[in-house]
Amino acid sequence: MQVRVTSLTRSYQGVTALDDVTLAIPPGRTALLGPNGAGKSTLLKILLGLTKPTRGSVEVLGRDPGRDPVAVRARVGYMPEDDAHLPGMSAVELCAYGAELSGLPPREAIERAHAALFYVGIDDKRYLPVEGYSTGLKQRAKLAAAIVHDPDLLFLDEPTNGLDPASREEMLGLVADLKQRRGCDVVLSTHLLHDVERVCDHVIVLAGGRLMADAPLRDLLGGHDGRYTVRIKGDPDAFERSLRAHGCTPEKALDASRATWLVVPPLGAGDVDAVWRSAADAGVQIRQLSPRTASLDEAFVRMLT
Amino acid sequence: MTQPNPSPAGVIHDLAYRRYEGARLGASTRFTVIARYAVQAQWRLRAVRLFVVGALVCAALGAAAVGVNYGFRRMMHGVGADGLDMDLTRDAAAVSYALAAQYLPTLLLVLVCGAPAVAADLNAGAFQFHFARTVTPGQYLLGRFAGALTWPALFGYGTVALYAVERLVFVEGVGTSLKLMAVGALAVTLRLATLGAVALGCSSLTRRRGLAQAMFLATVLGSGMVTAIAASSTSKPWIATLSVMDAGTALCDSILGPTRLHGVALAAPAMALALWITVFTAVAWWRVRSAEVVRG
Repeated sequence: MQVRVTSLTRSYQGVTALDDVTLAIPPGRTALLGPNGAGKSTLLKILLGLTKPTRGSVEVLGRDPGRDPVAVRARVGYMPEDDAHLPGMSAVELCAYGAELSGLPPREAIERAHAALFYVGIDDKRYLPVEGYSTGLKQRAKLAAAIVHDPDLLFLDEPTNGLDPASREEMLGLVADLKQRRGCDVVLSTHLLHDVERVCDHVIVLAGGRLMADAPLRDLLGGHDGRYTVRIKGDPDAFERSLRAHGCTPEKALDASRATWLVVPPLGAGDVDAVWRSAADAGVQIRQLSPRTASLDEAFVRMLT
Repeated sequence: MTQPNPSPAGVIHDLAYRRYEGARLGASTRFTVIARYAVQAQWRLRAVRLFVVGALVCAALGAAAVGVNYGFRRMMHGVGADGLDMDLTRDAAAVSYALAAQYLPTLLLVLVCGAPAVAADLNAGAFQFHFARTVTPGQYLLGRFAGALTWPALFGYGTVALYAVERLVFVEGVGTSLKLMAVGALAVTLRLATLGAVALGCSSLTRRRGLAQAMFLATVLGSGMVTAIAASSTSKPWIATLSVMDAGTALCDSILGPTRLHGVALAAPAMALALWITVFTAVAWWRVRSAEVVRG
């Protein structure tokens, strides 16, 4: 396990930010999910050794960040949510500075700064001051600065915040690639469920300072929920009438043209033949028939309610 | 779960990636990295370049004046004449006045290099950048302190060294020259320590660079004015030595003997110096230690 947290409690002046949390972060890509005030940032602070727990114990890469924060931070990278640059510094200088502050010799630091910026896709603008960058470029520069010293474990705090859809996909691609190509385990703190589904394989859910879930993503999503997604070509009204006639429940049309339906067969998940018969009787073609699994959104809402 | 696409076209370029397996430098030297990058960043500012060049011109002019003075006296007394080993009192006074003349360039350099240092970091979120790495608050402050004072130190010690070399060339008495140089260097050190501590203390109290600079100037000039007025109205000249501006110089004056401040006692400026440095260093330390470095 990359991180082990046991009975962790952190209180600030009477407010309990984390309440008896026990969790383990395995190698790979782990999401730290939760609404505002869930305790995600407090947990990150404790994992980085910036705050000490009120009670409980923490181990990051086999070391206690409260007792030996410098040793932990030498092997950990952190990409903060907010802007974190130095005024007037270009991306190359920022990354080289970060590498040197992590103990790399100056020559190695500058080489790896260029390599990290190349990796995240900042080429021609690397010599310009970071404060003049667009949001997307700033996020990439922050990621480059976080990985420039080759960390074993990377904490990413809302890395896709403020990005347009294309930049967001590119950032998620980089996050996914970090483990595959660089062997760097990732903890992704976010409230965007899409990002989690896209890149993570383990999920930790915090709410109100308490642990709500600590499980592989596939376990949270669960299996087939008994419903089917059906896409047809033909008259949707006739299909809906036929479904009802065969005992199916057409829950709702999923698009404006009513070509895609969410359907519950009459006898549960095994009775998918009723859907085929409905289509045949209505004279419509079935273009897609797939069992539906619960989304992370639904699992998340279920956990919080 | 959607299978992640590891390499969106046009984004990831990592053909020659290799993991760094070499040695890492010890965490105790981080302040040198912070200071080095700070000095590089300062040199890019036009104001810093202007003040550094201006200070060096001042030092050169001062050195030229002293050189002409020594040369003239040497002509009058002849080469190697005993009379050139001037009495210490005159030289001490010269050093004292030279140090006083250094004050404005030093103040301006600390104003542009040191006073905004921590405030700019607070404003840009650079605390997170530093403290998520192997940097302790002590290393950070030491690095900012050294970075803030590099250019003023270059000017201050350079000037003292220049005067000492001139005296060695033109005047006999190596021991006296070395003593004057040592006291001059001590004065520069005390002045830089005081100004640096005040600059970082003020800088840590705000996110606004301009406000930090204004607070620094107000503290330095304000303390000078208040103590000067108090000294004048009470006819107690030692009160004037309590200010940020005069404490260091006054301490060295008292070591040198009869000087511009007419032999003030050692205790008052020494205590004032200790107080200024301790209070403002403590303020900076407290602010850096308690700063919220991870927001969210």
